[in-house]
Amino acid sequence: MTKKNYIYFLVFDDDPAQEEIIRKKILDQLVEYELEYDLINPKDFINLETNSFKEEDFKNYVFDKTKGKHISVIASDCNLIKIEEFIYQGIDLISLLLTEERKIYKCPFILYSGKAKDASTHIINKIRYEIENELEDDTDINSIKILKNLMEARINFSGRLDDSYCDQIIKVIKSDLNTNEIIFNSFKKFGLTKINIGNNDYDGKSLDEVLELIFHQDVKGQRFIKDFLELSIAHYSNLNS
Amino acid sequence: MYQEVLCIHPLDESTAFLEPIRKIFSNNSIIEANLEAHNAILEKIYNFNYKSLIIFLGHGSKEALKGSSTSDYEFENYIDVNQAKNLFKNHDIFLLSCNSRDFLNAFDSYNSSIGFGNIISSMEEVDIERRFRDLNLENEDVELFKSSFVSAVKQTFIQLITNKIIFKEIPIYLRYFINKEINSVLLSKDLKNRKEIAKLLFEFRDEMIYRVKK
Repeated sequence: MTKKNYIYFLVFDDDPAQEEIIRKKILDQLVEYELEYDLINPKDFINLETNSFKEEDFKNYVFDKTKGKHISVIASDCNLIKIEEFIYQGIDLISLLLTEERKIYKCPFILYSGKAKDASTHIINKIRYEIENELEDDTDINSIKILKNLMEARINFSGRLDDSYCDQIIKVIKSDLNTNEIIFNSFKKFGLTKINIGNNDYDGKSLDEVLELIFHQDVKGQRFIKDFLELSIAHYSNLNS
Repeated sequence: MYQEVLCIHPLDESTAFLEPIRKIFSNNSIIEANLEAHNAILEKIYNFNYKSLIIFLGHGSKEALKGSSTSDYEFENYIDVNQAKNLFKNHDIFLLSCNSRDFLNAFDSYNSSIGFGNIISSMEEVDIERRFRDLNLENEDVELFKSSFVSAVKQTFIQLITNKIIFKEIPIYLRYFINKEINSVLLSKDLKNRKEIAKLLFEFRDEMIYRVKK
């Protein structure tokens, strides 16, 4: 099978010049893969009357754009919107996406910015706000949502100088590919074996046929990998009791 | 985290198999077969002023949670949607009953909730299901299915009450423990209908929903 690996990623930036940069520094660097991406401008989602961010519209837009797609990485400019007191940054977009119930965005995130101080001040203020306004006294650290999001999400920070975020994106994509290759190679090796575990989605199929499903982005193929891995994890691990 | 953690289990011979779950909670109640007992529990819950965790073990439908059922007492619509809307307001609720996921679709006053799809728990229900699809199950198979998911739910709640996990993580860990049961069933080569039993466990696992207040 010599099909090109299909890769999809997302970038949030208000600078349309990034389109050209992404083409030169990412797409042209990975020609052996079939790359697709969307560059979304968060400024399109500002409610100018109330100086607020149209969160639901943004969530819906991203959800529709990425429906059925495996996202390799989401990169966002750290500093996006600043209108007087109204600040909305990359970290806010990530926090927002992590509240999406229709889909779990568990790809790595890249936050890039030339203005690290602004970015970190904003994050600190968000945490402070949440502690002061939204928590009861005795809550444990798991309840501090933004901290939990940050700790759970794989967020990489990157500078904007020299378009280094593009290098970061390539790095993440390549590591994703390496994992994929391990999966594909294992399945190919034992391609003639058949699955039989009581799940109609893929029971009776050989691993070769499951691989075909995966190449065609069929959700059944992905579901199989997920089930297979989770059953293995459950089989070979234990929780300390 | 919670003002109270309460597990309620209406008296019903056909749901007695859920007892191992009830027993791990220090605050648990079998609801006896009389109206006073049912009302007392409602009153207890209405007196929870702060966020609490309520676990319901029993029969249910998308219309209501069922109360006790004995040879001379029956309370079909113990907690219907309207009652639930007020009763469970701002609490975390775990409803281990048939089609509780549809029940939970009808209101959203809870803080967060977990519900399930159709849970087959008797040969009568197997016979009903057989009208819609092929089901190769005998009584021992259904019993094994029941004890498997009871074990998984019990182990998950032990993680919760020993503060290793929080409510939001219950679906993940319940999935993990059900997967262990699936593996165990599939590896029992002497079980003739192990694939069918595994299928029930897959369905139990995959039909579970977690909802959170917006």
